Amino acid sequence: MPAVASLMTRAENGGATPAIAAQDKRHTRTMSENVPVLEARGVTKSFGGFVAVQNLNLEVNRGGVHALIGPNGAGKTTVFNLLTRFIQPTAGQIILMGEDITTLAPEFVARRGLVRSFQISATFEKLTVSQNIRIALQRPHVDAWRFLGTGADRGKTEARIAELLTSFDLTAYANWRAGDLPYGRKRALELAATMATDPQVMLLDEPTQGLGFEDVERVADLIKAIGATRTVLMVEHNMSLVSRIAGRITVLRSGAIIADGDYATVSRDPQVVEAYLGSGRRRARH
Amino acid sequence: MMNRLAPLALLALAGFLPVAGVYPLFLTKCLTFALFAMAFNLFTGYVGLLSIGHASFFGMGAYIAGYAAKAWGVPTPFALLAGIAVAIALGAAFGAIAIRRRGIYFAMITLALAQMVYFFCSQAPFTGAEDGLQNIPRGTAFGLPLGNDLVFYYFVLALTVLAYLFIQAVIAKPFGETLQAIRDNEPRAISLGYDVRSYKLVAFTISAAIAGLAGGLKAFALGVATLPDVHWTQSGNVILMCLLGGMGTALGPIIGAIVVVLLENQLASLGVIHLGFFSIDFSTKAPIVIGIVFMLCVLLFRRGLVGELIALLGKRGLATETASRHTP
Ligand SMILES: Nc1ncnc2c1ncn2[C@@H]1O[C@H](COP(=O)(O)OP(=O)(O)OP(=O)(O)O)[C@@H](O)[C@H]1O
Ligand SMILES: [Mg+2]
Repeated sequence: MPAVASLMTRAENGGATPAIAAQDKRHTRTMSENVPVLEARGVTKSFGGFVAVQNLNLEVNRGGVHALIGPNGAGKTTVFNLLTRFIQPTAGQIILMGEDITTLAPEFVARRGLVRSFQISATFEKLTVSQNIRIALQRPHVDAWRFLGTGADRGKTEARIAELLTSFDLTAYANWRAGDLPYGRKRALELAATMATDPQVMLLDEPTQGLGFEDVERVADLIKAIGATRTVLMVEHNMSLVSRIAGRITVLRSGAIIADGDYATVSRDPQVVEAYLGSGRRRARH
Repeated sequence: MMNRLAPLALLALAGFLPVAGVYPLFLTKCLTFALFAMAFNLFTGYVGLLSIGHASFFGMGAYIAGYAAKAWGVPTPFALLAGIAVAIALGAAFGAIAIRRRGIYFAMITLALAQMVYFFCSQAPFTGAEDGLQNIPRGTAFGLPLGNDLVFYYFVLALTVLAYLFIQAVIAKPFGETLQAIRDNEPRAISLGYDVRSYKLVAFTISAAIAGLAGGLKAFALGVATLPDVHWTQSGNVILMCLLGGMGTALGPIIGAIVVVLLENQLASLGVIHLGFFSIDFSTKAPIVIGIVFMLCVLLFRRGLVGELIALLGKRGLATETASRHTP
């Protein structure tokens, strides 16, 4: 493994990977606290008669890591699907950077800078790690109707791929098929490909699910580094990780918000304590 | 290395066979179906949606090219282009309607649309209904007397090679890589901002265009365009060819088409065979035999002949192409 890559693995100062921070200087300027970059206003979603999300009012401020937590089945993934327009809300509005995106198609939501990952898998398993990142990088430069087009400038694209591979410590895996990657590396690849789209807001659905301790640390550092310059909304069950990297936490139960604030506030909230202890131990997850 | 050598070897063989005495018209028929199978494979093999409507593009390509040449005396290359143009229009229309659906729904919509085209062809005056369009003149192209079977064969061979190179180019471009990504994980492709419907629609339309060319060439080759060309069984035929040869591989459809045409031909010439108490008339039982061959292939070589070969060579580290893109 190249020396640079191993240096990146765990940076000091809380893990803000220098390479990611360096690439992101231009975003820092436009960042200011307490301006909602993403909002759900009165969003409700019912599946048949079952109300999965009820009158949700969620504000995600620009910059930092915002965690969305809650027991299994609370509606966290559904909220992600609603915010990114993968499903249609039954009622309510979704506002991204001041614009109503409630009726926008999901690919156009992504093009406006709201890019998500998925709870199960967000890689192209049969493509290599480099190809996965290239697909993400190329999107603004290709178009289905120009099917013989060659996309973005090859040299620049390859350079950017190399950069991202380094930042996410994936250089050694560049030519692996994504499907063959160890689980932790796969999650790093999801982050790298999401970063490649240069998003304003990243939604990550359980980015550390199924990871071993070492990998959790690595991925947490990467997310923290990303949150230094962009906005991250993350679903996460690992509470010690949430307390460490999330500046704000929203707790969801049965499709409704029961608490919202920093870790200290939320963890003292009696409803939250009840929700977590009252529902018994979480189902085993793999 | 295999990827480059195999097509070249096949091409050399194709160029040499007529000289070695193989009937050029038979070879031409193989090529037109190989072209049709390549077209089908570009969509179903790489996008992963099963079209049962491709007979429409093939059959309409045949009718339009044949009619333009016969009724209006349009020069052969332009008659072929007219067939392609109609196939593109039909393909775009089919695609626009069907592409929103997946799986069985997509297949059923293409089938329903194809049935409408079939009905239209059986009623429209220009197709000659049950008799079909007969005695389509081959004319000339670029000064070549296409009426000569050998000349016509090399003409079709040239077009088939061009179509092959075109398809390979499309697959190698970011477009092809994107199709593969969409096939792999469609929600992720959407979440990266890809307009996946356009990608599928474009692939479908290109596929229809090449199927239209194949149909036109077939009409000129045999001098006829008939209802079976637009019938859904023709779509079934091309599915069979691709599965037999290896869906999603570059050479599989070509090999599959050759095997099927060869089998049909050989069985027809076998005629009636007596087996003790009963006799089988192979000239009419070709579909049964091909059906059995097909079943055996699907059971024994799930990736098709070429797909299995690539997998075998891949295991030994000889092939670079992955053969895992067969349809589920
Ligand atoms: N498409 C759907 N149709 C019907 N019900 C659904 C659908 N999607 C989600 N649900 C239901 O909505 C509720 C919330 O599901 P969701 O997946 O959003 O929970 P979650 O908070 O992400 O849970 P987990 O922690 O297990 O991932 C669940 O009861 C689920 O069964
Ligand atoms: Mg979930």
